[in-house]
Amino acid sequence: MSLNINIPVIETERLRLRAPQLSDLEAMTKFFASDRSQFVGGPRDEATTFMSLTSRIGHWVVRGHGLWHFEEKETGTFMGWTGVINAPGWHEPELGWSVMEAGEGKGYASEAAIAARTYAATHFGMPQLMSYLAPANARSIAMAKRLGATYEREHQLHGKLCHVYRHPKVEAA
Amino acid sequence: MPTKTIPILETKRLVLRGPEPEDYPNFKATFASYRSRFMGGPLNAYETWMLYAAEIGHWNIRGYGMWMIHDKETDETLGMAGGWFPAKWPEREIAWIIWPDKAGHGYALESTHAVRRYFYNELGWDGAVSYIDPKNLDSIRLAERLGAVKDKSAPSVDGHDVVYRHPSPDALASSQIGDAIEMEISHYADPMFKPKGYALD
Repeated sequence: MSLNINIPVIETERLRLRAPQLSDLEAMTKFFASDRSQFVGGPRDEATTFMSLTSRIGHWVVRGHGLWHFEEKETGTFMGWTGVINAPGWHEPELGWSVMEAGEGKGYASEAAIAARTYAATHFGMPQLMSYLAPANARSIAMAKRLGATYEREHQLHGKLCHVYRHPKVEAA
Repeated sequence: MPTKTIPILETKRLVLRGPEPEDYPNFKATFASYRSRFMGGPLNAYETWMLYAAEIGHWNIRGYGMWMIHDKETDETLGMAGGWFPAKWPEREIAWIIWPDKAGHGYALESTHAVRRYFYNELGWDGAVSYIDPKNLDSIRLAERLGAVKDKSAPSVDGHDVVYRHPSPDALASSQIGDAIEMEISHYADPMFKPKGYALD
């Protein structure tokens, strides 16, 4: 039998969005061990991070959408992830993102998230996604606003308070 | 990304296929239950879903993983068996779980025997271990029926489990363990034979 793993590749000006892969584990582990992960379910140890990596692929198989890992086209360096998350506890599919330390301050997260958002509108029938943001996650909230998202309401995600930001309606590409 | 091929393994009574999205309800029922207490459970809805997704993704990341065990005649799922190797695991593990209401028919024995043969013959593994909770007597008994022996010198996953080392491919081929397993499986498959005396998977 074949496992239907159909994770598309998207290219933007500077980035390539592609499937999560084993060589990303080291950078992921570093991220989840650091304070950078405090708003996105961290900290996690390496074993749990490995499960995050594998479950991201399973998410695509089960849902038909999921998280891309993105790398810098020029260097091939893994820089972060973005895409659609829809697991138990999510009240609707979410556009999520994280950027590794190496990719920070370059606008990579925005560039990737915009590409994922457009892809979701075009191929997943999701023209107007929302994002869960921890109220203290000032940098991601600022990015969401730059992407045109606006505060909608509060939500409890697995017992943690977060803010729902609604993205503008995106035309299919 | 290319589509990954998961081999189908057939035994006398079983068909082993990769985990599919439609098999999830059975997996969920077991991992929400006390039966999963030796497998890190019981888990909540989110954890169970993520673990199932991870079972699928493991195939892609490692090139092997856990198969879903199906009854050859009815196609219903009976449990899972296969290889498991997360980060920080000391060695590659042969693992299994049988749904609570499907235990006692030798399905775990039949499927683990098949997956071990596949790993040895097709993937070239030179051995494997099983990490078992010392209170999980059914699984310890199964490991022993598979010819695995407790390895006190091998590192465990987290100190709460015991390591059972499977016979090497050579040991399996040159001893009578293989024949004994085949015979036990054939007894299970024979409706006249009713094993008695101890808890079985």
